Amino acid sequence: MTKPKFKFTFWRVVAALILIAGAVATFQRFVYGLGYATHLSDDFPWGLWIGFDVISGVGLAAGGFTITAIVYIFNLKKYHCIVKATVLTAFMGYVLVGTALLWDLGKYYDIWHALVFGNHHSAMFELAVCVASYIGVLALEFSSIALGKFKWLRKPVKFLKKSYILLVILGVLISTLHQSSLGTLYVIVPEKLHPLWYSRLLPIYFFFTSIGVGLGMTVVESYLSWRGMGHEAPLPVLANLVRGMVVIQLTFFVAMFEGLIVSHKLGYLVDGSFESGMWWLEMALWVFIPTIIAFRKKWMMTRFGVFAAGFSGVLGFLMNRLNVSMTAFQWSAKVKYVPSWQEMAVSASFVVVSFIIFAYAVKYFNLFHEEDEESIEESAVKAV
Amino acid sequence: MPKAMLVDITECVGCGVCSEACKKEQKLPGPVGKKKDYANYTVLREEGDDVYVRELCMHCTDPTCASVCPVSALHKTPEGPVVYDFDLCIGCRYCMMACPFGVPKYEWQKPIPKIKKCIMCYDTRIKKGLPTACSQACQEEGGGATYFGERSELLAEAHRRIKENPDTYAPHVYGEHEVGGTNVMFLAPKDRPFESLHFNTKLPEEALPELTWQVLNKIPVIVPVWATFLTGMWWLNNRKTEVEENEGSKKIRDEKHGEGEND
Ligand code: SF4
Ligand code: SF4
Ligand code: SF4
Repeated sequence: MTKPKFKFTFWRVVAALILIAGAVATFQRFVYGLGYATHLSDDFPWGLWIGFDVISGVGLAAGGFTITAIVYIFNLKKYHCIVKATVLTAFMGYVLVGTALLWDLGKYYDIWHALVFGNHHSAMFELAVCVASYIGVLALEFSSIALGKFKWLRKPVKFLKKSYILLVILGVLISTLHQSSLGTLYVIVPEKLHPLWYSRLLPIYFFFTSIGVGLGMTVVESYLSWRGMGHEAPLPVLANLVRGMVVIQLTFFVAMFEGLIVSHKLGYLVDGSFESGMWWLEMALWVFIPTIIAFRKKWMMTRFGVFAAGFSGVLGFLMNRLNVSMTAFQWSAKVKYVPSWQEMAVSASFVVVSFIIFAYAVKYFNLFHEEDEESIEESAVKAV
Repeated sequence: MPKAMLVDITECVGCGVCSEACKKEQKLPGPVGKKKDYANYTVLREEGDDVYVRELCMHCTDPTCASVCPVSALHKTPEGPVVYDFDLCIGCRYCMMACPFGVPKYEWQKPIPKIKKCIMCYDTRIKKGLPTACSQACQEEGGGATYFGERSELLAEAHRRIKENPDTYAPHVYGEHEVGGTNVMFLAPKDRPFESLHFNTKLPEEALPELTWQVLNKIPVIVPVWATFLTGMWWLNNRKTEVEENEGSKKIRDEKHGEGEND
């Protein structure tokens, strides 16, 4: 493995500047309070830190349960090569989400209350319990994959590998619950959410589309690690992930659109409002563009085509979660909310941190390389 | 029996002694404001033509704020008030997001903020059997528009007023059925019905926590089904490989395996 010497490239300087801004913002937030550091207010209590860091972040880490389910439950072994990378990113993603939440909570040091004094009528309690236990499951999954290279850990790792399928099933169950509970959070505000996004089926929509973005993110990560380090998963594997994503998005689109028809909301699509524009943009990125690319054989043969489809899907997903948490809510709030620079700096810092961790992990854990001794069902993998 | 308040908007003169009494009782800083915030639990909304509307927590029978709070920092007392426990609160602000009346407010300027809202003088008065500070002040020094008492009795009184003076009152008691009923209720003048006074008249009669509960109560049903399905799929798919390995030669197995993957 070649280790390039540290150089001041353009992106490194940008990353450093973002982290510095993030540090200043963090200082201001914890010393002077949320009112000073954010543009949140009584009329708009949840902003970028909830909408992006938490609600979108949990979704973007959905690759963990999606890919492990495909490989171990549905036994599609040719996708085994991306398990390591997705489990790692999921683990990292959830840890970062949990950390980012500390910036937003007024009494961050009491975050553990959510697990101890649970109110089982609250969707947020469900979310907290599931995310916390899923971090535990991912930690075990990840250790069984990654720690095999350390000799003194062989024994516990072997045990983990034996029970790996249990971890996978548990992980899928918990993910089903908390991906959907992100949508459940908004079921209780029928008056406040713009009609284009409000639906009592939000929990189902959120769960279903998290599978799609799990596939999309895997494609994007693989492409980035190829650009950065030359490691990647085979193209046909990634192309199939994009096709899977498109099928999920189309299914979702039909279901959601039927919902708009039966509840007589189609008028909102063409009323020329800011919200309707955001809805169309979201759908273009999330559904239309990936679909068009996926149905062109020629484009799907190229690395860039596959990446573009996956990336568009991920962007569309992001827009959807931000639209639900901010655009749709702002519609009923009395104020216009634009995040403060501090909010943006902190959120951007978390993105930078995840890039750095990912880059090191790709190198250190050989993320996209298959090692025979690391697979749980060796014979099956070899057969592929 | 749950305590409640009835505000007869036709009798309110806009003197504001209710807001002042509240500030004193709850030791809230600063002068009386125009908007509800961390230092103003109850304010007057001017609606023109000398019509004033009190804004305060409605103390819902099935409070949305309490149902969404992950740690039960907000809860409904048997006496009626919906109260707050700062020691439990984690500051997630879900209560502010969810309250259909926009009541809970936040101490944004503080590093460790509290949720602030009307608690119907629970600790200092209701527990001791006294009326709320605002209703007492209104009856003794103000226009006598805010009444305190048992919810059922106040509701009966409100309906009696509407029936006896159909020309004075709009024929609706706001808070009787809204979001499952509230412990603060309003009567409006005939010529200024609730829509015209910026009351949210589109709220459903069903309590909002029911919406979430309809989702959450499916969890115990879904989990065993989903777990069985996933385990079954795992068994099925891995058994296929096993069978193929035992019965076929390596070559056939590879072919079959290739087919299996494409479905
Ligand atoms: S009005 Fe809002 S804050 Fe008051 S009890 Fe009802 S939901 Fe809670
Ligand atoms: S801010 Fe406090 S009181 Fe409000 S929902 Fe969160 S924990 Fe409960
Ligand atoms: S004290 Fe009574 S009359 Fe005066 S403003 Fe308050 S409710 Fe109206």
